[in-house]
Amino acid sequence: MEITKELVERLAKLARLDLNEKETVSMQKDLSEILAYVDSLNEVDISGIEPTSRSIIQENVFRADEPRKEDYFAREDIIKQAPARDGDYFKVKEIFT
Amino acid sequence: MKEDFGALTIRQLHQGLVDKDFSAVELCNFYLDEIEAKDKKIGAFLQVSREMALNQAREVDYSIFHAASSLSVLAGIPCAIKDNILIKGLRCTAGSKILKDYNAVYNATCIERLLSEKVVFLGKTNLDEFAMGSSTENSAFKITKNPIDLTRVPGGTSGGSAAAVASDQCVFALGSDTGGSIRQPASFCGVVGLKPTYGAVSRYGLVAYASSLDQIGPLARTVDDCEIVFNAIVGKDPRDSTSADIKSRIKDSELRIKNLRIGIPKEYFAEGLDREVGESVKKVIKLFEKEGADVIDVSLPNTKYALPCYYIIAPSEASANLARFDGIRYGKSEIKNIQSGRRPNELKMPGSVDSELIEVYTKTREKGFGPEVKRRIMLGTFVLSSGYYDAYYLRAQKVRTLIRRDFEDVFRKVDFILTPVSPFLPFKLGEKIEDPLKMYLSDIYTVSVNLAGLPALSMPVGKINELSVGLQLIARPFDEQGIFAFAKIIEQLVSSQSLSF
Repeated sequence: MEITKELVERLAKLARLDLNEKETVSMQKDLSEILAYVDSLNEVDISGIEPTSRSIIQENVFRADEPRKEDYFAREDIIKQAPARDGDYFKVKEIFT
Repeated sequence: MKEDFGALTIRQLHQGLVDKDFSAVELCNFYLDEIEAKDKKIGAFLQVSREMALNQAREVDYSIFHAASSLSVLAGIPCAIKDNILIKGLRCTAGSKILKDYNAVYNATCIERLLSEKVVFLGKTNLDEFAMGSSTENSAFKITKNPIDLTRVPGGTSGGSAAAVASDQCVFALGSDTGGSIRQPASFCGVVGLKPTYGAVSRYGLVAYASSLDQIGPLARTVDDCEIVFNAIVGKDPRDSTSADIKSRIKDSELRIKNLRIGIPKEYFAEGLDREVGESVKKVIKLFEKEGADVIDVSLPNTKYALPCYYIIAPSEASANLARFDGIRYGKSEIKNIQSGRRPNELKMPGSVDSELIEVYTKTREKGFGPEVKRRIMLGTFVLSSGYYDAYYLRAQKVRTLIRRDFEDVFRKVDFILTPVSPFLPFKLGEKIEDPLKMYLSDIYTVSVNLAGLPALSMPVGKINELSVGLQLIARPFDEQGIFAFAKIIEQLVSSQSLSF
């Protein structure tokens, strides 16, 4: 699996990471090495095998769709940590023009 | 009395409090003084919560004054909490710059349960950033040193918790384990650490790394101490839909070593294992063979695929879990440094990759995350991306099924599986940090356990040149009771032999 500089740049965009030039180069090297290592999984015969997403079999958990007091946090505790706020709102850069 | 606190177990400390030999405040101050005296050298703590601890201790003393007989066994016991578990009112950094000044808005469930037992929280311990690593060297803030040898790593990612317990800066600690992050540092620092069955302990309030693998667990000096803490935090939690009912709580079970069936998987004693470590683990196994246990050679054929499997699945889940760190709702952000309306003449679609909105994300994350975190996010993004998903992620999930089945097959023949925790002794600081793959190989004996969701305990069974050797006990899902009973027997056998190699 060839890891090109373009692939790294595309992945960085997907991952929302602004990698600099030096990081892009070393990421190329690291990803190549790691992917070469995990490629050993290609040796395994997985025909007819179901994937596991849960190691321990579990059931869905349901409850009534009603607000519960114990689930509430103090709004101010949350909003006061906003990097940019406007009253009770989180402020963001423009999304629509 | 005061000088001996460090050697006392939870039950002994509890008795001392009930008998009024000393007060909870005295006990708390002892540990706060120990931290003051020792932690500059060791670096286990990211923050010490002096005020909180003393307030909690005072409340315990008040309870003792009024009703000593009904005091819970953990009341007044000072502990340390890994800094990826939320304690309301304290900072929670997850070892990352991006959460450097983040204040926890609520308590994790395990914290609430410990609070109801009236424990004392001494502070938050150091970890590899977002629980990614094997040495605690990936922390954005400081290096933690192995108390046994200050030139060596304490292991990771719960290195701070393990080092704090090992250096008697607290009585017990909580850590988290996704691929070995409780067991390996416990082994490196010579303490006991448990990774519970997946779902046994609620993950509510744990900063998520890989949601299908993460578990919170206790670290302590003795098996009994570990068991007491586990009992306090275990149990179904409506706020964690993956948490399970552990049907039989820990009772005093009669586990006898005679005819106990123990499996030794050959793949864990093969190439890659340091010869001396292998021999010392085998010496311990011989001890209970002598006591009448049935030691059986078994095979877990897909063992060599566990590490590659883990390093596809865990980074994938991490890339999803860490998407929330975007500089909008909390954490360190670049939003104030990105001027609006700088590109009036360019028709950049808002929301496009080059827009200011997206720049907030990309620049915030670039500055806030360390190199290992970025590596794993990139790896996860790659293996989940269209065109590669089937070949990597889906394949890894299928290999995970085979790994799980290997254990199911072996547990038809044996009750416990024993292996080394680490293929080598604690390595030197700086030794592996430059080579990611080399660092990943630290986890070869621990990751399979997380992939299969099984419970496993790490306990010190001897020393090689003063460095601790850890034994790993793996059991069937929800058989923590069996693990503790068996581990206590091993603890007695090992101490009666005082094994050194």
